[in-house]
Amino acid sequence: MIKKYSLGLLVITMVWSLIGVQAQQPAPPNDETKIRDYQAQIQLLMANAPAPGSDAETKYRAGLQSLSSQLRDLLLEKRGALKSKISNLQGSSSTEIKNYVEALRSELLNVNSDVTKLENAMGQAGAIVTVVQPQPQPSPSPLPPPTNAQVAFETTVKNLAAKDLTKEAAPAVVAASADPATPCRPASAGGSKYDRTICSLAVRLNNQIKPTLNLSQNTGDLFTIMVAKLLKTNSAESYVTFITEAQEARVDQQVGSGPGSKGTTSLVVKGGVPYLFGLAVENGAATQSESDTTITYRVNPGGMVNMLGKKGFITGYKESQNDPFLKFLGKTSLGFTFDTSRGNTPGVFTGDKQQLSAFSARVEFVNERDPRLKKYERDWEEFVATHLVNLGQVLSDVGLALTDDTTRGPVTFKDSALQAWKQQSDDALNDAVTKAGASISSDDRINLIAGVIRQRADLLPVDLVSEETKTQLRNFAEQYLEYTTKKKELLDRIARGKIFTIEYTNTRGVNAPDLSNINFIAATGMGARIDLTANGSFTFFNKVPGGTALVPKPGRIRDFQFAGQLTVPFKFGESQFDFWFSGRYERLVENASTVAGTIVPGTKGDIAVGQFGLNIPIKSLGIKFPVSVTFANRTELIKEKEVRGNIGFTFNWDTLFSKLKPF
Amino acid sequence: MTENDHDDLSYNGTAGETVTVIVQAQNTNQMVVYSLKGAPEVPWPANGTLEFQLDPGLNRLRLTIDCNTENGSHQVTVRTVQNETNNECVHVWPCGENPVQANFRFFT
Repeated sequence: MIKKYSLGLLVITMVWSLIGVQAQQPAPPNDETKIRDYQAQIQLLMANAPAPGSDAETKYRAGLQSLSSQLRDLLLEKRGALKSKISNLQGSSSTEIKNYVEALRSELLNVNSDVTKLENAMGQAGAIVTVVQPQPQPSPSPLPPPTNAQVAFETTVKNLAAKDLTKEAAPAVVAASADPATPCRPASAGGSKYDRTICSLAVRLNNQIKPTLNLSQNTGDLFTIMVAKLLKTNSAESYVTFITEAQEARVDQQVGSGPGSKGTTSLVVKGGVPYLFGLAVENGAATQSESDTTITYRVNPGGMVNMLGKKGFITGYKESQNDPFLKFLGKTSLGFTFDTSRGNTPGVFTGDKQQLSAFSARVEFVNERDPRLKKYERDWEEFVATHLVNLGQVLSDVGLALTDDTTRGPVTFKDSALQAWKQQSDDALNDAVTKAGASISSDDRINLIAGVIRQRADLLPVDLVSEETKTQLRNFAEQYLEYTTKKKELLDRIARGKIFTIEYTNTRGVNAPDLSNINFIAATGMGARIDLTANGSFTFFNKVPGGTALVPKPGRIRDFQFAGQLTVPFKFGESQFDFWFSGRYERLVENASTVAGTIVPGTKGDIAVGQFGLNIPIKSLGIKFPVSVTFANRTELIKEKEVRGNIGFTFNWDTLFSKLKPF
Repeated sequence: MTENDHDDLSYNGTAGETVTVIVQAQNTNQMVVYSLKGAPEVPWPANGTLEFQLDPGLNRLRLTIDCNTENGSHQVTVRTVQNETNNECVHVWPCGENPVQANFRFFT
């Protein structure tokens, strides 16, 4: 009887301690009140415990069990609410919200632990108190005793786990990644698939309740890392760095100013619009006689509305697709070009009205480069039915061959060396996250996890891993390479879809007449991701200038233009460069004006311009340096051949924003 | 059915019990194939929902999930889970560098 009462007191003590812990955590007011009620009731019950063996003992036990069950239900509800809160908030960029999410995550771990303890304690109490059954729960069949083979495996893993496996890893010079370790946040990971895989796994572990290498859901990333390390160091086969399918791979977006601007490096205007915000600083002039530095800000109003509303890249895009007005805004962009040679302090960017040399508005009417378009649905269905089915089959086969998922516990590696490595890695992850504490931001936590994964990947015990494991990984690598190649082919075909955009530009002269230009922009692709862009435009005077004795009053239309550009993206190292060649024909219907506003007689006529150039990127940051050389038979004011060099700097915020705040 | 471990995707149920699994693709086409109880992989039903009954012992449901955009996600909901809010267990896998294979295990 004393033993039974000891168990009962154990339950009461645990329930009491749990209530004490939970009462300090934020919870909905109703639940908090209920918790306090249970606390008071249990305290009352404990204070009035009946004598052992008395008639009141049965009722006492039943009451205790009932309170425990209800408390457990509350904790489970709280756990669900915490998970939901974390899921909803974890994409926010706000520091306060990030800190709150980390506190919730820490609290969730505590609640999980508490629920387990409570259920265990109730199970013990159930041996003596069986009056109350809160809900019929399925009763799983009892766990079978471990087999001799399992015991032997666990002993081997235990011995290996206690050993320093670093001696069995490949030499550091061989195992280490060729790329420098770039942080996953705030910028994206580096260009290699290996680096992106490290970050991908870190983000996924950060989403898990406990950041451990989980063989129930992390094998896609984990096998990729293992292939990179194990096949690289011990086999003739090497893992292929896949071609980036990232935002910077798009060649259809125009960030800088159009060809009419003094500072532009392009002859042709492209059709795509950035989702959020673009900045271009360019020096040179494609068709103008003066060559100055211009700064162009290009803004997507829909994206800006979402950003100001603190919505992420995905959430914002998704919501805009359901709102006709936001959807329209999402297909527009506004451009503001500033000429730094203007104003009271020429050469210094002030961004004031005097330096505003052009304003533009662009609407994208057709864009067939979105993989989710209905016209590509059948292609994706066929892709899934063939290539993803094949990859899934290999992943399942390799998973079954390399892991043991037959017990109710976590899935384990069959290879004892890998399992020991996994256990050490989980310990390292746990230590790092615990030491960092709950106050660490989500981004820092992802970087921390990525750092640990990177270190642990270099310590994979290459010399201890079985040949069977390597054979299975090789099977996966071959199928995965084929899958990725086919997927890239389909994405490349979609990236050559048609684009049609109309742009209106208002150019503000200092003394020269203000001009309006309407440009029709069409683009399509051909061959191996070559991008073809064509422009047709006409320019008219906002206000027709008066004539002089030398120059008669001009008509409303000033000029019309046709232009075409061929863009060829190519990989150099890990970065994607764009080479382009373009040509432009302009018919000046009226005489051109100088900056001072003087109409120069005899300048009517034809202007032909050719250009070739190269976009030099900084990988994954959305920054490009366009460099180009332009040949012209004349300029608008001077009827002489000219060769001009242009250099610029463009920044596409989409690339960075999609990494910084994806949700 | 009860959830055994959220991250391990493991559940305890009873033989003959009906399990419902719902996949919802967000900002990507649904790119999911599955293998149930060791059968060959096939594409996930177009309506997003799969129902099956548990056999005695271990029932494996392997989902291989990929995306055709960088910024999408797939949400997988398992019903009916008695020890979860609304009797359903929700997992979200954001699109990442590599496909995810989620190995759901149902023990009876």
